[in-house]
Amino acid sequence: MSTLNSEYDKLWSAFKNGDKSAFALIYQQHVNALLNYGNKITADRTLIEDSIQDLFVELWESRGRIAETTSVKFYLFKALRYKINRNLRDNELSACHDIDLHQNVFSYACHESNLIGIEVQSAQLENLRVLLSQLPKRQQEAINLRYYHNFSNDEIAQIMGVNYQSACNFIQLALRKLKLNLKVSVASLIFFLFFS
Amino acid sequence: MDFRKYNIEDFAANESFIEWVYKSDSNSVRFWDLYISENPEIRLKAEQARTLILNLNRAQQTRPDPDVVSSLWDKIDLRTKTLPQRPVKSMVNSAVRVVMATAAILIVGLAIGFLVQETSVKKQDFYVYQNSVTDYAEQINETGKALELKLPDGSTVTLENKSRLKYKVNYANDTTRDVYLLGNAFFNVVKNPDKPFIVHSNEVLTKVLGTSFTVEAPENGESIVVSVKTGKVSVYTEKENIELTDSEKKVILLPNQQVKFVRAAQLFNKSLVDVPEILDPHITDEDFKFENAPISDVFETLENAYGIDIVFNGEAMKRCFLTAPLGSEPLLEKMEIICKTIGATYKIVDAKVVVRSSGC
Repeated sequence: MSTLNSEYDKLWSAFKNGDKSAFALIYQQHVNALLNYGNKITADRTLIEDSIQDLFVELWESRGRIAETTSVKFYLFKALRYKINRNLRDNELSACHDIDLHQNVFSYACHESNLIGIEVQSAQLENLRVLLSQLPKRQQEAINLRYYHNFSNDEIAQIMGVNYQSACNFIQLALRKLKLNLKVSVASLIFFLFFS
Repeated sequence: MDFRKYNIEDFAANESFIEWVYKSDSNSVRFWDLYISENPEIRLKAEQARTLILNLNRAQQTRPDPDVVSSLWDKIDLRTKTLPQRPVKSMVNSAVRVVMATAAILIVGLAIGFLVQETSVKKQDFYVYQNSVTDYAEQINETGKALELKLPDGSTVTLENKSRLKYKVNYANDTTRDVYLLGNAFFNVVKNPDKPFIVHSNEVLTKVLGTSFTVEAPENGESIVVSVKTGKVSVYTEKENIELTDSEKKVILLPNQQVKFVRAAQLFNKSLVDVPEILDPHITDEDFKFENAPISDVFETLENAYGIDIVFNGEAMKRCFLTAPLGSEPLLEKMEIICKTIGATYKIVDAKVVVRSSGC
């Protein structure tokens, strides 16, 4: 991570100086991760895409006022979460309930159509995916930030707007729950990975 | 701290352990390597935790939808364009300005998935091109007609309308002369054996020492076509830079030959150009007037004139003689006439003319 910092810095300051192509690069670098993360916050794809759109437009508009940042990615994730949640609140409460109710079903369905390739261990991964989709929403989000986007627990706490201990708890509780359900399959998975 | 009582999930949740798995922090790597070797009883649990971490990553991977990514950018681009800025003089100028500015920025690796997806070529060519190189000059042709350019090394380029070319102003310190093309162009390259001239077009590279050839690499097109007028050209894919010598992935082209790279299949398809030209300037129409000429002589004349290979069964066709006043018609028309006259057929296979005949 740290080796990339100087490039990020250059890109970020070019962007702050109004360089549109630096802006385009920042978009290119982060949009896929943001779409992935957005899926963990809401199942509403239009809302995710609109929020990302607004996020980047506002980023461009306020480029002169934004402070130098150590991690553009962290900044964008935090801003996206804030934006989606604000938009969610703006919507009717009943709509929110609906989304909450179907969250697991939806995000599972989205992911299924989005999977990368058919891999050897696809059955085990599929199993893991199902288990992940059954976790409480905030635990799913923390797991996504921790193990897919590689944020530190401290960053996760800040992005999710909770204290450090809560972020750690989300992750630990999630892993414990996963392990209970994975017990059998992890054993077979290990076997598969090391002896095939 | 005593990690010997750790469960799989304790390891998997430990930040420094995760850094060990991803080798993202040298202190953590050193610590866990040592700790595990000194406490072999935790090895199995550590491996299981490592597998869990990697699988948690893989299970959450999503395939980016390039249509969403690009349509989203189009909207952002539109909304950020209409904001008050300094007045833009013309489309061309603003585009030049944007891309020239790119040159000032170091490229940070794009998401790999973005570059190597075979199934979704759409909309990405521009980004790949745009992010290809730093500190290059760029010419964008939006004049509505072909544009003649002279490169710093003396080579000339005919850049077709709606095409872009990036080139370097000073190649002095480089071992190659690289240019980047988005669209179609004809190149006439000044010979310099010490500095091969390389055209990067989408994922296909064309390498020459000094020759003239055409590259057709339309943005988001289904294929890329390289055709050679003079000299020798080698064509290979971006990946071929790393792993050479697979004849299917690298193609040598001679004059009048072309190769079509079909992007969906990632395959080269070598053939003759549509209208092969006569390579030897001394040859005139008169040379194609045949009177009772052995067919092998006829084919040899054509081979020499067009620099092509004609494959035929000399033994079976030794009694075939041709009388035909051929002249300025294109090669394939000549072949048509010859084959009709002697009752043979021909087809183009791998840039060769293959004649089939059961004899005369």
